[in-house]
Amino acid sequence: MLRLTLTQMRASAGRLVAAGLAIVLGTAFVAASLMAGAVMERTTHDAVTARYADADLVLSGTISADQLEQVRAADGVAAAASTQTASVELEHGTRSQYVGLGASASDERLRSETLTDGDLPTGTGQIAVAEDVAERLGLSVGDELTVVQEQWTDDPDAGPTTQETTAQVVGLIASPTLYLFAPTEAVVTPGDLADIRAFTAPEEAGTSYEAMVAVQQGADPQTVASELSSITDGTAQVQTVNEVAEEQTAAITGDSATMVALLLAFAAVALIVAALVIANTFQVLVAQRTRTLALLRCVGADRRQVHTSVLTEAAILGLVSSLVGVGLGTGLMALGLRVLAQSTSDLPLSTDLVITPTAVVVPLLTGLLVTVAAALLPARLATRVAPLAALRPADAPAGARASKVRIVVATVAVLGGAGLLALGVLLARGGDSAANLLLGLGVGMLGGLVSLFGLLLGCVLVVPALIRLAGRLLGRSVPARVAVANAVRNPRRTAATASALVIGVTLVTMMSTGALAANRALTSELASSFPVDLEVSTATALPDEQIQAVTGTDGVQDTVLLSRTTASTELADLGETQLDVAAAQEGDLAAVVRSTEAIAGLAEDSIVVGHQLAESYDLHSGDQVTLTGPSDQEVPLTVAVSSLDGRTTLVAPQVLTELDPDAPVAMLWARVADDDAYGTVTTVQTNLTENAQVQADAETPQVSGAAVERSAFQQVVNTMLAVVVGLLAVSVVIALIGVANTLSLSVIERRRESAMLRALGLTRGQLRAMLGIEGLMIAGAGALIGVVAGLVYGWAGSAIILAGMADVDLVVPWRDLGLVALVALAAGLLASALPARTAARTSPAAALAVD
Amino acid sequence: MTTTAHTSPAAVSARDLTKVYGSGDVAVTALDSVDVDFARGAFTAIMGPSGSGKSTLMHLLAGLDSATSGRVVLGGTELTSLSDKQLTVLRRERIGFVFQSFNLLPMFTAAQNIALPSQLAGTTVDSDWLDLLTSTFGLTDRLTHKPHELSGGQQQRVAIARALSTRPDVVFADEPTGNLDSRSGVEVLAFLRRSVRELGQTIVMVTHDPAAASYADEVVLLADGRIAGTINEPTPDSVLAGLDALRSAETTGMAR
Repeated sequence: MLRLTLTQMRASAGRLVAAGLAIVLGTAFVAASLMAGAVMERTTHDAVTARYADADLVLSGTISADQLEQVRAADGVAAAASTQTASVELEHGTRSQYVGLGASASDERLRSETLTDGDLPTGTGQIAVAEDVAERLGLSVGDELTVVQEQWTDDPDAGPTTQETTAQVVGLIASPTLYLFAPTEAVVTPGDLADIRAFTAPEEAGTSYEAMVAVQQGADPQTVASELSSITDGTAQVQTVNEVAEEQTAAITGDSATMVALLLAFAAVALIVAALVIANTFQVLVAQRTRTLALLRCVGADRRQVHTSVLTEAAILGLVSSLVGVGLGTGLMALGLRVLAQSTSDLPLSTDLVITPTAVVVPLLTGLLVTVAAALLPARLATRVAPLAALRPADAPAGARASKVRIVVATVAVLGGAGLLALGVLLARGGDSAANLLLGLGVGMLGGLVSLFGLLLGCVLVVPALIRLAGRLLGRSVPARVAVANAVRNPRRTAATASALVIGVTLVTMMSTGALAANRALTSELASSFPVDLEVSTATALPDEQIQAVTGTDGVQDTVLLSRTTASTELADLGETQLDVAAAQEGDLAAVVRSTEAIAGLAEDSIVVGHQLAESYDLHSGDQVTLTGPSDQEVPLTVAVSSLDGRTTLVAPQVLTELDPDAPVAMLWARVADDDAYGTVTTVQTNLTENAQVQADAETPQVSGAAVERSAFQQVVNTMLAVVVGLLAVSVVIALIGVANTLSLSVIERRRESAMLRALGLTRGQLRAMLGIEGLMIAGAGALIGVVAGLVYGWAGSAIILAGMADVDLVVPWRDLGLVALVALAAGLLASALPARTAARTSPAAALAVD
Repeated sequence: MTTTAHTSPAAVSARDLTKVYGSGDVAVTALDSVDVDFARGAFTAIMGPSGSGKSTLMHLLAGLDSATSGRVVLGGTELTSLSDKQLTVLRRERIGFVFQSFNLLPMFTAAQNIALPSQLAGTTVDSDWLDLLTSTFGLTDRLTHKPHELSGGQQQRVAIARALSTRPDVVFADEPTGNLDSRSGVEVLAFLRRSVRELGQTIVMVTHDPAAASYADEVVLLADGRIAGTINEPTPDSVLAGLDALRSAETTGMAR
């Protein structure tokens, strides 16, 4: 029987390869996800061990200077060093930078820094700096720099006292990575660092929070460790470097486990779609082999043998595909790591692939199980082939109609799921508590799953109906009519093919709808709390040149100039208080702010106060205040609290004139185009700085505003969306393999029919068009159902998750939907290309001659 | 070898027609320099044992397959020089087909099946002609039925009506009664003859059944890819006798 199975497999190789591809992609996804987790762990482990150089033991906790001396003197200890750093500012010429300053250990085994040029500091007044810092400060070996140390007191209002020392650069060290630990960007001798710390942190008195120990040759680290434990008794823990690394890795693994779980969820979607494609393919194979199977039954094969044969075939396919999938996943991972390692230097990625047994075994087993499970139903169908079927003429199998049970279950599931989804939205909107949100989310997700299940079951009804409807629009040309008729000929197969696509399209649409809704909601939230994109202000007056430097920048749209003065008022709690009062001088305030809520209530007798300022001064809308400005005139005003942010208050221009007729233009507000807001703000900053340098003793104005935050936020949302959609795209690709599979089956089953049509005068082009339309129809129906379902899920999901935010609009991401539809249709057409080629190449006579 | 019984010019003729399948050691000569004419307005049957090349000859005459060498002329057009596209257009406009099975599209009604060639060409069937065809073939009340709702004989009648719907130069029928019980077969053959007699069509039929061949005006006998003789005004007996003669010629040929 096994030999027969293998022979049949060889005969259907092409079809099996296409189905296997679906499993290959799915398992590659699983393997790569698992390997990504392993790489994270390895990277963490490497980062930890690199930090401690060749040390054997790590002390962590509180280690006094005395204790550290005792440790050095302990039996078996070769050297010990603190890993403490101090934050100092390095100055060279006009440039300066804050760095983490560490000590270069006297013992080679405790030095984690890598010297790239010159020497390490050995004497007082010497320093080695990281290459990237040296480049930024324009330093090279031999230069002198100033080390500025700051001492802060408990009083936050008092500034720091500073002390400056000079140091000579004696060497350069490799730039540190920014992973896990605060980077050490410069090193001095331990003595110099102790001096600096004595100034910057006098209360710590030389205490370290971590120290490394190298043991003497031949000494047992464990013995030394227990010795040291008695010295640092109770204040610090003694661990081997390996123990620390394992501890850190375990902590990080929590995070990477979440990431791996997320990736695996996407892989699961891909595998489910793959299972649909496999189930479809095997049904097709069984249908094709009806006569062979019947003949087998005639000559004595029993049902169990037929069943086993189909399952064996699935198992072989699953195993081979999964092996290829693991290989592909490994290759992709290796490639990805190489690319990542080259593009970012901040993350010390270990480029060595980490192939754990889990990353190999799990995808193999999943691939195998999914394939065999998907073949269970087709295997049962195979056993139903009666021996008599061998004797009947080979008729194309009649398309099975949807069973009543299926219709009922599908309808109940869709309606029930939709009900749950609505309930979830209601629950989440019912109150502000996290419990409401979680409950709503849970109920909503359940509803989503149930209705998706119903939808997939119901595809057998909906897909043919949709195709017939679309067929009417296509007109009455023969290729179109035959294509539509063919597409609905076997509703189950067509529906199964389309439903594989439905899953992927639904999820992609849901994600982009959700992302757009979130984007809108958060943007409007940002617009009301940070209404001004860009604010340029000085303490005195903004010179015209600076104003032009801003308004002349590309991307800066509407601007408004504000005059500002300081006025005092008597407040109930705080007594006499100074307020920054501003008024628009030139330009339309309403055109600049993102949300007019920010300037709501601005009138000739009112003062607009931002909500934060209002809270700290205990002011409320409707309160009366009397302002006295430089003109000494008392101006009574009504408070209007708005969503404005910051400490500046707004009044009408004439009010400002009353307070201070000479108030200078000290502020500029601008609206910035959404495209590349970050770039615009950066350019404004550069322009202003350059302008300030050209003009003698003009100061550089301060630049602030929400444009950067807003664009950064949008970038985060868009990047996440792109990643998620990219991951889901794999399942769409797999589904399209299914479409191609179904179409090539159509070609084989309808060989005679196609030949007859060709004989009657169907041109090759018309034949290709026919299959193209069939592919378009199947893909289009799947895409349409997916888009509609995805929109509903996206809306419901954003209504639940963003329940705490203001109103959530039911937005339609037209651009993304168009793209999804276009991709699906193009792919449906593409899927028909290969089968159509085969069909068109066959001469009508050859196809007719086959009996 | 020409058929001289009819004075009208040939509807389709072959000259020195050769078809070789495969090449080298495995080359099989299916047709070997065949010269034949099929008269306009006549019902001709091509007969011969299995493997005699009768289906191949029909496929070449109908432009369904390309010849290795030689020429086919159909109503004044030489087929051998046409491209696939030109051949396709020629088939739908000037040739009708009736096959043994797989004649009709199962998801289309009888009327839709009949209109298929015209619709492929983007035209419609002349309604008078359609009425004449459907009444001649007794299909008037069957037009809205799908193939699985029709008997085998009715399905073949629909196929004949379709073949005639474009008033082609020639209708090729490939074993049109092969899948039918004898009564339906007789009925279909009678209709084919009526199309020639009453509607003036030209029909070339491939068959291996002497009874079926006896409905034709003339029988062309084929053996080993060559024309082995013709029988005018055939009867089942005369056709059987002709076939027997072929067989004995083969036997003696082998003995020699």
